[in-house]
Amino acid sequence: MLLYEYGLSDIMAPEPVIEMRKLTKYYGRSRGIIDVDLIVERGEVFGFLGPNGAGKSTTIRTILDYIRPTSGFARVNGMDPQKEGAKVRRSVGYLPSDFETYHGMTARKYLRTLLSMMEYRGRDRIEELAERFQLDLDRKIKEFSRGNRQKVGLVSAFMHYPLLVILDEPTTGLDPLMQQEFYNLVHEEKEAGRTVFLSSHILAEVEAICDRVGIIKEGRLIVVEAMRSFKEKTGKIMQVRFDREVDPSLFSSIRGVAHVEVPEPAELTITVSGNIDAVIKELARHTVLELDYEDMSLESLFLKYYEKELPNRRKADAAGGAAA
Amino acid sequence: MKLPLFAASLSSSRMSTIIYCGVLVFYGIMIMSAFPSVMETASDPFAENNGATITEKGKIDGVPVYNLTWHTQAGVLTHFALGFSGNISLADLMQGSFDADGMDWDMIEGFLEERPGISGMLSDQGSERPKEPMALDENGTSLLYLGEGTYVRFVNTPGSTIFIAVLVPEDGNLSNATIKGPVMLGNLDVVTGFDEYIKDNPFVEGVMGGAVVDFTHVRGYISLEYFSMWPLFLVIFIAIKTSGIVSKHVEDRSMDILLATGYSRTRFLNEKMLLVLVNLALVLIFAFLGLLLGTIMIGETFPLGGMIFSFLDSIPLALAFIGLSLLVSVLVDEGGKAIGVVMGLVVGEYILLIVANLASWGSTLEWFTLFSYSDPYRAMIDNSLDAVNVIVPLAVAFVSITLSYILFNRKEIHA
Repeated sequence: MLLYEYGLSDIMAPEPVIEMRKLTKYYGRSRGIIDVDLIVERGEVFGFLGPNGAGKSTTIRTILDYIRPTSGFARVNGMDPQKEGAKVRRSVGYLPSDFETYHGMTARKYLRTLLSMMEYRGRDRIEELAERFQLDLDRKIKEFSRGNRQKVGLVSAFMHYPLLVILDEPTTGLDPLMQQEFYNLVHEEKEAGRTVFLSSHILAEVEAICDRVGIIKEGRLIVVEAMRSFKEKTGKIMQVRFDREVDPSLFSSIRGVAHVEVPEPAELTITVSGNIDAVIKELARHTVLELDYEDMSLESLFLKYYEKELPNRRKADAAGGAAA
Repeated sequence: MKLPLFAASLSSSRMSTIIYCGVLVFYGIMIMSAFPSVMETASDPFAENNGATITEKGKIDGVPVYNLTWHTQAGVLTHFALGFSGNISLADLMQGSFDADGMDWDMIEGFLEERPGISGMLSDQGSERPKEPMALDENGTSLLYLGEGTYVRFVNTPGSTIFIAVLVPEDGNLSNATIKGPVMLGNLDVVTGFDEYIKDNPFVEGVMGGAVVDFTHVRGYISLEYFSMWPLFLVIFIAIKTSGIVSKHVEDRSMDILLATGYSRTRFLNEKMLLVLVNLALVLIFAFLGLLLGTIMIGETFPLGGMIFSFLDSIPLALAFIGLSLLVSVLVDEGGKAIGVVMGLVVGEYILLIVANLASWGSTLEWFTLFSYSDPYRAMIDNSLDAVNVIVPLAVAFVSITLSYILFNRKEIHA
């Protein structure tokens, strides 16, 4: 199996790249993750979305054999992490959340040490990625800001051309320009046929770069969707202030508008799923004094999915209880 | 075979290792540079003892003048001070019990009764004090003082080497008298046959913690001044180095990225343990060098064989604490807490050793302190290693290190 590659033509990764079946982890009596079923295919960028404490890191740490599952199993690059943990980890590029390392080293020496530990002898991308992320390789890591340390972590995850990159909250501490650079890098990796699995609690980030998204809450994977259909469901929120009162029904009747609220007499809050063109055209017929346009919050999104998922789960739990 | 984690860890910890090794060299040189002055002082090893003190106050016509002082107490009728010119040995003086008054009076009384000059003098309380040492018998016993004072300055014409002060109670009964001293002059061994005495009196050796050596010689001096604390210094250093092997990396989360390189947990521990062993070797080498340089600087002969055995003796002990510290490091996820637990273990074990040495009921405690399985001064004197001192610590090391590897391979590394 070729684990580190330069070009798409040479890539020979097994499929699926990540497979989890009923993966469950309890910390004593505390919930980690419960019955997570997930398959990530080669060449896709998968976003693992959830609030803090939902189980994102637990899932990643389980499939990389930092922790052991209570039940269920996982395979990464065709290997069982519990039996071949070191090989699994060597076959991926990994950026842990709140990444820390030897502070006394320069970034260059540190990254070279990691390559040496990987026993990687091919051409590396340290210089290229450092230039891209504007990282001074000759400074000691202890002199870096949080954002620059995160850049070191990102370089370490991608520097050896891994076929699978697992990133846990990758943009923590990055400024918007560097976040965009990171998004570009992920797109390029996808085009090169590599797989990226990233966890995040930032909806816009996942929307910007992922092909598919899985939402995890309270340890359960509540939905896995292609990004296109996901975007249609998530929607955007418009907050509009007019020069006079406007009839909300003018907007609620437009296709794609999910909800309209009237917080103040001359204000409307419009939740839009899908195409906003018709809404913009209707707005243009009025005098708009102020307009805010933002993503639906993660909590609103979870509530939206929970509304749909909860009755199903209750049914499933009831059926399980009856069977027992 | 490349050892990148070992190299990186060595590089990141090099400053602390260099500093510690430098301190050890300096400490060795410092200890040895004090030897000449200690030798000078050691020529009067018992210049102060049991409420009596003797100090040299110069010379008159080449004969040394001394000041002998002693503590007195209530209910004393008179004091007298005696000097002995070497015909009485330390063994004679110290044989018997070590009670609060110093020596067994029966022995002294017998000694005095054999010397009628003293008894006669005591029966005549009005006699004039001697202005200079008064010979009492042909065996070299001299009366230095008689009266109510608590000191005497005298020209040591009889060449006395051992001195005592006797506090005679108001009833004049010598059976109730108190002895202050003895204090001594001159080379301890030459004067008293000290080494022979210790060899023949295991009780005294036991009271003094088994650490009785003649430190007027380089070998004895190093073993007493350096090696009495060496096991503790060595173990503290090595335990601190070991206790962070796993716990520190788990706490600061650097373990994640190190294992993400594909290092197996066993290989991780292997390279970290190699680092600890290199540190141990460096510390031993630099401690040895410090003593060697110090000995050369003062122009003494370096006791090479004894030194090698002394350092070898401390290796099994160090390995045992390396094993225990590693086990703590695997079990405790916080670096600071792991160091705290390990230091508690080290200090606790050492206190146990002290209690075992001091308390009459404490001898069985020795079984439970690893420090009792190291005896570098005995290794130095005997030029050999005690088999038990090798086997027991190595067994502890083997069990704890094996257990650490098993537990670390099963350990869950949390974020």
